[in-house]
Amino acid sequence: MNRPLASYLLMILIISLFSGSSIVNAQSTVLTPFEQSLDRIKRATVLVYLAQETRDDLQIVCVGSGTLVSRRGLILTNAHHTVPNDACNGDTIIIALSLSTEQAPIPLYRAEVAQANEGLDLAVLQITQSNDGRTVDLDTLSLPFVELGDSNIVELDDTVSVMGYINLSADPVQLRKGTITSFTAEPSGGEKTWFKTSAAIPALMAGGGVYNQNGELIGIPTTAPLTRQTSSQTCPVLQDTNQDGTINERDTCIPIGGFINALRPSSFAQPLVRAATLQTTVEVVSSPTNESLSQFGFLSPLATRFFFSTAINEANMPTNVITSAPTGTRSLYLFFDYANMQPNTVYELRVNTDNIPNTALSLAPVRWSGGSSGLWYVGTSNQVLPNGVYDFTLLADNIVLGSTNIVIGGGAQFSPSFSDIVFGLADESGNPLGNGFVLPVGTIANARFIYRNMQDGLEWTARWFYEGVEIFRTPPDVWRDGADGSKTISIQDANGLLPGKYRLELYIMGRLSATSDFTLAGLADGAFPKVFSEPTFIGGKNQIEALNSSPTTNYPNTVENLFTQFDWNKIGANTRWRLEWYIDEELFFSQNLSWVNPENGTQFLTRIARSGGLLDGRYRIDLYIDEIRLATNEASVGIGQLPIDRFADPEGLALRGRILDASSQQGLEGVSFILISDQFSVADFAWNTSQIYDFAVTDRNGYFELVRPLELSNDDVSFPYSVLIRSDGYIPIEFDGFVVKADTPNPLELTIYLTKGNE
Amino acid sequence: MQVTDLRNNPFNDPPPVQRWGHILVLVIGLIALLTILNLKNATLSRKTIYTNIEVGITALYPADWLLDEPTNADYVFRVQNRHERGYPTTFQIASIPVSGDSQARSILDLLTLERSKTLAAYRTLLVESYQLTEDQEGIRGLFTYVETSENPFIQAIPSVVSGVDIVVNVGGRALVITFISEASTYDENYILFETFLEDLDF
Repeated sequence: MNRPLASYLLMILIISLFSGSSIVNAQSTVLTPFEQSLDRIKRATVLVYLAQETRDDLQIVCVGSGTLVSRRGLILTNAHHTVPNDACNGDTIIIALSLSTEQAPIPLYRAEVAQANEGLDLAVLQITQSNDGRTVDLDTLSLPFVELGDSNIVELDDTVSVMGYINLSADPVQLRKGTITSFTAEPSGGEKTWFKTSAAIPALMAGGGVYNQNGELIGIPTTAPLTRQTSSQTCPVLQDTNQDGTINERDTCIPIGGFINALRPSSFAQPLVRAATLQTTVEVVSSPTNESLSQFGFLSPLATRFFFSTAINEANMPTNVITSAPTGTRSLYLFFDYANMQPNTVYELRVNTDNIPNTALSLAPVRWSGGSSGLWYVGTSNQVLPNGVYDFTLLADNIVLGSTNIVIGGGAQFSPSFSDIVFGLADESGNPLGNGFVLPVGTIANARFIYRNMQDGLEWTARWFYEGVEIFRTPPDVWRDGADGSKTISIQDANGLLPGKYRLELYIMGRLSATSDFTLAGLADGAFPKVFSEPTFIGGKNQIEALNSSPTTNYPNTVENLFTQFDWNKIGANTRWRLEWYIDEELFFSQNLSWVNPENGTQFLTRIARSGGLLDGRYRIDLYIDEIRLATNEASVGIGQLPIDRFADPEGLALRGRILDASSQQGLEGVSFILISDQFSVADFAWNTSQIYDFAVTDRNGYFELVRPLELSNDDVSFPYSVLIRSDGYIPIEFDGFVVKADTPNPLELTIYLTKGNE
Repeated sequence: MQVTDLRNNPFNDPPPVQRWGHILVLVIGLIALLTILNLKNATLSRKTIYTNIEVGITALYPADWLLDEPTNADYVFRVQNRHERGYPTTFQIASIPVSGDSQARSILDLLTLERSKTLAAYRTLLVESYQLTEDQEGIRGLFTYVETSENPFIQAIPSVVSGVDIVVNVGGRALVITFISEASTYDENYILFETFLEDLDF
């Protein structure tokens, strides 16, 4: 048989295989995007062990699920079972993958923590070694991975699929389906700080993935196991840790916690994944003290001043204070002051409605993300709360910190109230000007609030606090301003008010009716504070070299260190501020800090660094106090735009199959399957890797799989790939026009026969 | 028991026409074999030219070997025989900037240290001086390791490969010319590498 004829016949065979697939597909329903992605999602789901390496043994101390989010081995998971802590004190992270979607995972790699936020309970791991200790070449690593979706567009009743491992036996990766039943709000993430789902999620799925109908990862099942207990379902025993020859309850168990009902949205993980992908580190050179390192770490957590509000403003402050709410209330926030909290503090909110546990409002044990002290809220919005008595109990590390309750029901009450406090410097008419919550340091601070249903003659009081200490209280006064309107009050000190954190509480007849915090910082620039100078960018190998360099806004991509410096004015000790870094408008670093420097100063330095040179892009730094952005600037590196990673998109069709000897029907090992880019035909192919879309080599049974997903063609755009299969001793197969579409089975499995013969 | 004497069997003595037929078949077979060998040699001897002005090298490599010219890898040129089964025979050239007093030997040692981290069972077998051309002396290192697939989802059996690094100092840089082959076919593939070296111009 001559070569063209053989090739032609084999091509017909291949095409008939595709046609067969199409026929099968035509008879079945069209797969949803999630179903199209299911195989890839399962493969990307890993089991993560944290182990303690002893002289001759590895003792597993914690375990959870995780998800590959890049082909170069980045894994998104929880921090509580990967970042060493009191409950999980290990030093070696082991990654296990299911080599088939029907098999239990097998340990294959070692990993290190690339990025982590213990308070948010998120960590990004980087695979660094194979299980035999070899360093993994990340450039050649091509693992299946999933894409992070936009968790901000998740809505109530959306269907979600949770993926992870459910036990430590021989079960493969598992899927749990459910819907989004509610959202939980907190200051760290606004209205969608937590998703609640109807899916019953076993604890070991913590750190796994929650997917939308497009197969995108939109959340991470999260729970924080409390402490190592005696052996139970929430703390199974795996190993003979006491080496008495028996695995029993006397061995140390692995705490995995109970069922999960909280999902951490992927928007929290995006900056961590981005920073790990960029391999760029950020260092606050001038102020290394992280707020999370609490100075009160040795004291027990405290929570005081519980109250409820129905709305929050842009500074995360309550707009009102309520003691009851009418039927049809759709938003409710529990506020409280806290102190002595740590990122690894496990807190929990238990809510009962008429003595029945309310899972929509309760929050299962999770890590604390609010820093050591401040004002916090937990709440919900955009869902009607049934009538009843709501009992709230707040716990930290399994100890009750406080309880309160509120009644929802009845008609709207038109009782006297204050609300919507904003702060500023007053204009000629007495209206406060400024950004509302950060005022320049001076002799006066004004507060304007709205009042409703007031009656002249009612007793009211304003109490002003500085750093938690009451500094001024208006003597009980009688109201004289009518029923509805707005009123401005102020606090003054001829010697000047000190910079720092202030609070105003407004009372009517001895009842708290409104409260808000604000900050005094910076010099006056009109009504606005000039706290930070505009940050400038300076290069240099180290701090000294940088401080002697001239600032500019364009740097070559060979620069490994880029410093920013700014001056500051009148910042009180322990003032909370936030530093954010963006690349090409995408956040990749955010850190809340407490001010530990002198009140005034110059040349505050931060540094971003990357070994081998910073990636091309536009880098921006933002400085915040109380959610108000007070300074920003940006510089470009290289061409000012991140390089495009052609492998970054996990979407598309997975192609795999088997190559067999046509006569013996045996799989052929070591045969190359080359998929030529849609830009070239076989005739154009000059055996150059730049022309190849992807290629694979068959294993001992003739199986192969392409790592890079194929792009789907449709009516508007077509991706006609070409296929080339050559192996010495066999007639080659080569053809053009290999097109896959949305209705092509995914993954597409081919069976290809090679016939012996020479070219 | 019956004994049959086949010595006088007429089939042992074919007629002349059949004898000529046998001879003809043998001749045709021989011609076909020679043709195949000739075609194979012609195929093997077909070459593609590679030129890199920046590094200053010109090479001839077997046609239809897969060429890789990365911009961000630790080599500037690599060709692999993707037709053969098993580990693809590889020719590779790297250009490493060196200071004037750098020794080729230290380059080899660095390669050994680097590869030992990522390659399983990597061992240097021999290091010796090597006369690349009449006026170009370098150093040659033989090595072996176990090649494993990076794709955990296929059942690829690791294969033992062997290789050679030839390091020569050229101006302010060291050229590292590397040959890697499956150990079982090392000798026959090394002939191709020797041809590659003969054609290499730098």
